[in-house]
Amino acid sequence: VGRIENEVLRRFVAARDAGDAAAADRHYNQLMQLYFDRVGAWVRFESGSRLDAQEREDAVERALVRISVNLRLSFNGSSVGEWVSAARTAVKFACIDTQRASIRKRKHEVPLDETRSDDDDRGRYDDAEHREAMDRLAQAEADAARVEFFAAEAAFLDWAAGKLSPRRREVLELMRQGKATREIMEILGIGENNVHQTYRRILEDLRTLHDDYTP
Amino acid sequence: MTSIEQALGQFIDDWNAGRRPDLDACLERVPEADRAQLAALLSTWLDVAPVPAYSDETLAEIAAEPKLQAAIAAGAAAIAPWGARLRRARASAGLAIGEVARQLAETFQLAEPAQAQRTAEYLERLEDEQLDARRLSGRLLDALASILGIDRDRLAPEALPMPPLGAAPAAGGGKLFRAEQDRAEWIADDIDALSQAAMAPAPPPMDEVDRLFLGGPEG
Repeated sequence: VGRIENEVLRRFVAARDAGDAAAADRHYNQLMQLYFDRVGAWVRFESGSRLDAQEREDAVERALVRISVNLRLSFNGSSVGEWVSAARTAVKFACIDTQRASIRKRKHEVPLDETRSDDDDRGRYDDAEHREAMDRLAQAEADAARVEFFAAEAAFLDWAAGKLSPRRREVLELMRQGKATREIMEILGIGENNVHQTYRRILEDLRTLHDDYTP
Repeated sequence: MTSIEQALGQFIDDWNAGRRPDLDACLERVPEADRAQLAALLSTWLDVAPVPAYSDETLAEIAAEPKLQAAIAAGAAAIAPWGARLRRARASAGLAIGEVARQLAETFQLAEPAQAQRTAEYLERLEDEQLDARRLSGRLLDALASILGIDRDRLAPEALPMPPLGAAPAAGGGKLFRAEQDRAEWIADDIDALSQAAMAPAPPPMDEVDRLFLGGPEG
């Protein structure tokens, strides 16, 4: 599990540090492609209901740019765990930046139509609200800088897998090998509902275990 | 409506098979009351999920996504010299150096005409790579990104060169080597350098324009 990304990441970092621009480009493009959908999904979860559909699209673009620039200029990790952690941090900051830009825009938007009614002010912030919203974002930014992400530590999964029941551990391993539900049903000789329920329990267990985990 | 387990199972299968499942569509398959719970499970899954088994066609489809292409271009631009990046961004925004300087002067309330002029000169030096972009203040970078209408990250100054992975740590300090020289000789060199520094006139104090361009990230 993680072999493909590990290999691509290793080759990218090696080529970049060796000054082999063509090879670095190739592996870098591949890595960005492999993570494109995941970044979109992370933004979706990270932003929740704080961003509308258009803002979310902006946040995805910001996140991709952040990840891309970080990978090119400063990423110095050697494992997929570190890369995922860096990428998730970039997603968090991209969502905060998008929200901040949106608040600024609403604060400074001046309606062109002077005959507007009072209702046109809905959705705009007054000074106190603006300050409060900005303070909240600053706090979120400070929190984001401290967060260590779930998947950042391969050690977490090793540790957590040991806490799962043998059956759940087995199913998690098969899920992470990319096996389809049908294949898991055949391998373990259990029904579809049973496999689906096990997925849910495993993911609930991982969430709980993460709260107890000390790196 | 589908149960959480079924929607989750379908998403995991689609993800692993590289079918690019739609998150919102998946969430809409379950009753509204269950969506937050399903979202939490999907979020956990995406933290531990393997890279999907994308087909060549799907990878080509992803590669053609405009957002991905823009990000890859930004990454490529990020390794271009900083001055070239600034010049390119300014050209894309259709702004002359003088106009960028004027907007910066307005942003930072640089009231004197000479300050706007010096701002323009600093910008020219930046574009000509005569100024180290790592000395730029964070607030200047914020303002430049805003004026040029680009993401702040696109103006991130180059990081210091990184040692190759696995390289040996730096030696414990060059001073050790100096002890091998003649002590009188290097003490004389140091005293000479200090004397010259003491005799040189002090540079004029930095004003707001200097702090913006030379004051470092916190300047």
